[in-house]
Amino acid sequence: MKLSHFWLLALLSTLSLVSTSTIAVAADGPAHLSGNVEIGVTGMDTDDNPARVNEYAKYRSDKGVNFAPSLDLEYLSKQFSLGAEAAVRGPHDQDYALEADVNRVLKLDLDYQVFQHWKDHDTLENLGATMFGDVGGQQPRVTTDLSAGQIGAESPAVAKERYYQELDNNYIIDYKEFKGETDLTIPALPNVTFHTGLRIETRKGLEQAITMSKCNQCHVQAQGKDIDEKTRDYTLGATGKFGLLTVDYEYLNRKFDADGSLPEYNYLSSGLTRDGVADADTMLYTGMQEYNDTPDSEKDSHSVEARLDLAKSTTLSASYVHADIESDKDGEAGTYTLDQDTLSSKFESFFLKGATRIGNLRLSVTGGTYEIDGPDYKVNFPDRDDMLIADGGSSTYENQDFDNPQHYESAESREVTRLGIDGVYRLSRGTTLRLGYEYEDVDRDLEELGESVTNTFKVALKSRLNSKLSGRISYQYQDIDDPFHGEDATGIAQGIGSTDPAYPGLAWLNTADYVGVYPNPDNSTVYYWNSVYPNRTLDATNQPDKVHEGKFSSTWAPASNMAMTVFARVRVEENDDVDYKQHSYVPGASVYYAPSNNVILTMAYTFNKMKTENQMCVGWYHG
Amino acid sequence: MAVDYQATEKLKLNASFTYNNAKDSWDWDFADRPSLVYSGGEKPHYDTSEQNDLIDEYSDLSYQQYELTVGGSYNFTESLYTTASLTYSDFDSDEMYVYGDEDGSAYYGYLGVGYRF
Repeated sequence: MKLSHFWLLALLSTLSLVSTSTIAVAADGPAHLSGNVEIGVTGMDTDDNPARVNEYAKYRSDKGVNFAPSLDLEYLSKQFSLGAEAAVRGPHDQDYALEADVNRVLKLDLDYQVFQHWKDHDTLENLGATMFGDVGGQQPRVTTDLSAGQIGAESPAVAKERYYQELDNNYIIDYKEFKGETDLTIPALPNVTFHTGLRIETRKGLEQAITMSKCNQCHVQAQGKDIDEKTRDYTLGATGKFGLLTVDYEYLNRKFDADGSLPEYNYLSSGLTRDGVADADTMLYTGMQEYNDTPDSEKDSHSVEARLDLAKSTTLSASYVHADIESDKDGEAGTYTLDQDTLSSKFESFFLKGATRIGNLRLSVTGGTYEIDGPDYKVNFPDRDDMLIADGGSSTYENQDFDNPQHYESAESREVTRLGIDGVYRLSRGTTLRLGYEYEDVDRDLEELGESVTNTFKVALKSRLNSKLSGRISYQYQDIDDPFHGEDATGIAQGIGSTDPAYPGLAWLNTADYVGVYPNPDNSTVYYWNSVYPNRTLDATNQPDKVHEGKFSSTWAPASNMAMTVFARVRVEENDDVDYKQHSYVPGASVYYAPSNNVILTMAYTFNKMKTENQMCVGWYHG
Repeated sequence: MAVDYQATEKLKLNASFTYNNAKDSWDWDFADRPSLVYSGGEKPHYDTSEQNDLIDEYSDLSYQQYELTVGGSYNFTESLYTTASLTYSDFDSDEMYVYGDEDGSAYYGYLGVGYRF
């Protein structure tokens, strides 16, 4: 018997015993047991590729037949209530839920779900549009690898077998999630409820992992990666009501473990030597290296929320969250070492909100701040110290001025301040006007990512014109100063070099101008990384600095058996500094119609159009 | 679209149909660029504008997806019933440059007997 069926029968047996014993206990009160049980069979058959048509596997991921029992149960008595649902549709398509309430003292909520997901499988053939040589052409490494050396295969025949195996892989992940929550209210302490919770999520299967090597995306390779991940949450907390004050506290401990084996890639070097320094050393890593590693991590967080309900519909609320996150990180022997084996991050936030009613106006004011303090660490690359060139004289010096060890700070580190005011004014019995403003300041630790200030203005009108017609229309405008971007992240020499007369976007610098200029050596050698990369002058971002968004929805219900809703959303984003524009249009409608007592019709239509204009930098040579 | 129909006191039928049509295109023009010649001769590993113009073609996305379900339930008595459903699902992909040939179809069926209490 399959485990899922055994589980279901065990549940049924337990519920029978519980209901029998409880009926005896509550004999003086009404008891009610209802529900239904089904014994069924599911079957599935597919043709061609099931990855999209059966992406979230319904019943099963391959053709076949399953035994499919299900149960829906409800038990109610004066002191005890129980609800249980179970559905087994296939080996990887199952749902179970259990809710119980014992005399309003103990509440239990359990949930268990199993499903399967077909993941994306990139064939890498599209790289032929920007890579010199296409699949199987002069540069086979733009796709899942055919060459022996790249993946450390013993022979070209083995490499070829691996190439076709990767194309043949089915990338499927099995998800399982168990959630359990318990609430306990001791009769002697009725204003306090204690909570505990447990969540366990697992992901197992095969996913595609893609990596690339050398100095640009010439050498791209895909492999299957074993996935064996587990996330486990414990929560512990309490909610207390003390007159007008309600306080809620929760502690969360989360642990993530990834135990699947890692794919490996053989990072080849060109074998060239310049000024006595091998390119292999310049690249800092060669040979077989693991990649696509998700580190194990642990998180501890404390959150406190409080709300004070005062007279005249006035409430004050506050929230505080503190979280510590740690993830394990190892260096690569012979390639790099870290100054610590645990990367730490901190999150802290504090927010206040006040809401009140003044006549026909409901007013709320919010304010607060949060800070993310990301990992701060140093990486030592031993080969950087060896990159000394021989100048033919008595001294030797490096061919670059990169720091070693190199200091890294997280791009996530930032302090954010938010302030907002929102008012809803009742114009008439069924009509309200809403005005809102929000200010946000994002101060990032890394200066080159910018400090962003966003001002958001909102207006909305909502009305129930009569018993048959209601609607809502809203508009929001955002002005973002200095959005998230990479400073001097792309381009070469635009604005500082010579402009190509035939191709306006192209600019160049003269090699002769960098001979003997530090950190290039005092000879004729000019290194690319000393002379070209520091002369990137264009900022890069995909973030807008202006956003307009309008929404509309209206429901017409002329009769009790008919209703129609139309809606539309238009969003315009732009950033003239990088020639970015994005327009989105989403209109739609839904209809409900019951022409008679025994026929119900529902229809829905949605159209979605998005147009994006942007600049892009495409490399057009391959080294 | 979905319809529920209580055909008789004991027989209830339902049907639904869902259709998705998605298209994506990318307009990109590369101007012819001058060939770059070094002292060692013309460099062979530069993309041509014809190659880079393939970005238009390689970025096309087009697929249709539809699903049809018919089903029903029949009450033998107030408590005993049977239920069945059949679903046909189809995915037609017109472009294959990123995830290969994603065309596929599937049949799903369910038949069950139930008891209400």
